[in-house]
Amino acid sequence: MSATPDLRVNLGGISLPGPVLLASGTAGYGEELEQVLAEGMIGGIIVKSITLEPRDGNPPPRIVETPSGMLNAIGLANVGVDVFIREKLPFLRGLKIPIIVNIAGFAIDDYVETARRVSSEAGIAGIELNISCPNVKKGGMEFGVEPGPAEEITRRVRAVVKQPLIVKLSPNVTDITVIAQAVKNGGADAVALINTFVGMVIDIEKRRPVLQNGVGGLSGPAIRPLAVRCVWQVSKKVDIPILGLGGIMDGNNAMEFILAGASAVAVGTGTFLDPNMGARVTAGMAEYLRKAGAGTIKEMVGIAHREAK
Amino acid sequence: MKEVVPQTETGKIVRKTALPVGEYFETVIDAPVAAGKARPGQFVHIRLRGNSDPLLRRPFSIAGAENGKLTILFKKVGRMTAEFAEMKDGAELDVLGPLGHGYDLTRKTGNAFLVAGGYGIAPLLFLARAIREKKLAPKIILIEGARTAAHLVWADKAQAESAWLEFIAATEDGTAGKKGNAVEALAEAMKGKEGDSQMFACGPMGMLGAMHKRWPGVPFQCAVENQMGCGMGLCQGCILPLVPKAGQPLYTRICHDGPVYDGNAIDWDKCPK
Repeated sequence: MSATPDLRVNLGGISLPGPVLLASGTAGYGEELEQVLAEGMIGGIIVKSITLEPRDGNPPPRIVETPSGMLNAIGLANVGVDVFIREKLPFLRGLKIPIIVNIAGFAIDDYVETARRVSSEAGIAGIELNISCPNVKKGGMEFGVEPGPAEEITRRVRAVVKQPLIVKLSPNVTDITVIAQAVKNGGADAVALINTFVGMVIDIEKRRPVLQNGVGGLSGPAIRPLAVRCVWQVSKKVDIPILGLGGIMDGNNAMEFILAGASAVAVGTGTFLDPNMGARVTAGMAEYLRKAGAGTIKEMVGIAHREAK
Repeated sequence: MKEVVPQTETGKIVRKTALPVGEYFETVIDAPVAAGKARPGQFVHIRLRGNSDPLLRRPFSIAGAENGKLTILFKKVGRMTAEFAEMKDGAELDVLGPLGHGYDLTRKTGNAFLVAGGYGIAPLLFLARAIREKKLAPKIILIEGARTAAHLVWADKAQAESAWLEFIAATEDGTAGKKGNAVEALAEAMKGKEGDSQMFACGPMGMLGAMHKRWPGVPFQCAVENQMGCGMGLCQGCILPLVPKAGQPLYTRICHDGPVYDGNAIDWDKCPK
């Protein structure tokens, strides 16, 4: 029987006490999960996307269940950067876990200004740039589907933030490695793979899309193999640390991402089913490492590439 | 601060009974954590063990809670409830709750009118008992509206409490009680007593909105029915538009801020039909 594995990881310069983060948009600003977060099993929280101005988000219906997954079109509902800093950040700091702030916008200047304001606050471990939201009419994903704009927005935000910068990529592209390389060129310290896939469900009685927004982002176990594939491809081609996410529901699922090349993982939709999902996934990963006789997560990162040769 | 902390537990079906209507099931679940804290108007979010499809939990209004056991009432409407309906007594389920805010039980009036649309009666007998215990109103009247006599869920249960609870049925086809809907039955029952009454309701949006519009001056608490994602306020999927107010967001999260609302706070015209 080997010793208890060391679950600490480093993601592009961010030291995390555990390998499992709570994904942006699935853990709010931490308030609803206070108890879970206080138990110390979580590697960190990536807070719901913050924009320069507050946003009410899209009208209902905003979510619909799909086979082993769900579509959402929340529309970046959030309190805005100033209220976030004033009212939400003090609580988050009190949780004593790494805080990563996800930033979204509609023009490069929005992103830069929001990032600048957040970055100057104390107690922020990292910034995650959301250039992959499929649910707003302009901005969001449009920066994430072409290498030129992706590199430019990364470079501009990189210039104003002190903390490590993660860029969360959209899978709705022809070749995700091209975008990953572009944001690396722009100065990203890590990439988060992946945001949701654009999807649609039609209500055949009403003969219109179920979601008021028409399209939404697909998440959950349904997308897991697609997400693992993206991690695999980027890991093979681009030398940049990866945060892997997409439908992780247990420790074994998480290890697929690690073996494909991710340095850390995040749970998102899984938390909707079980507020303790992050802790359960962490425990499952520890169990896997113990059985494998591995002492750290790091020694498992990307080893499926070696085995595949 | 939050009054409930989300907590999951393994519940066990004690007894599941198909009601005469056929598609309704009264289910008693052994779930001490949820049952110990449950209040009328709150809900439990249930997942059938071992399934990643259907993925999400389903919310069920708590219809009773005693001795570590919860009662819920559900209707077979989709895949999850179809599976639920087939489960045997003794089977285990994954229960999260109690969630949301229940009815506020502080106001005293001469009359308390409780209005159920169909199986919206689920939380209202539980509520009626709490109103009686807290002596909020000397007269408690429960009105249930349904399509036909056969759809009057739990009318028998309500009638069994006739010593302290007045029960009025309304059916659209006139096969039982008054012919018409629950709101019309309420209008007749509450006539002349509006100034000394409060209304509680659970049912479809159309019924709730109609009650608010007809009696804007009568205190009104309603539990709304809606599909939900997480049930904990995380996904922001279940929302309702509020009457616009400065400094307040446009939408409220039903699972987190509701499911019981002051009927005057909701922008009924903007609710999805």
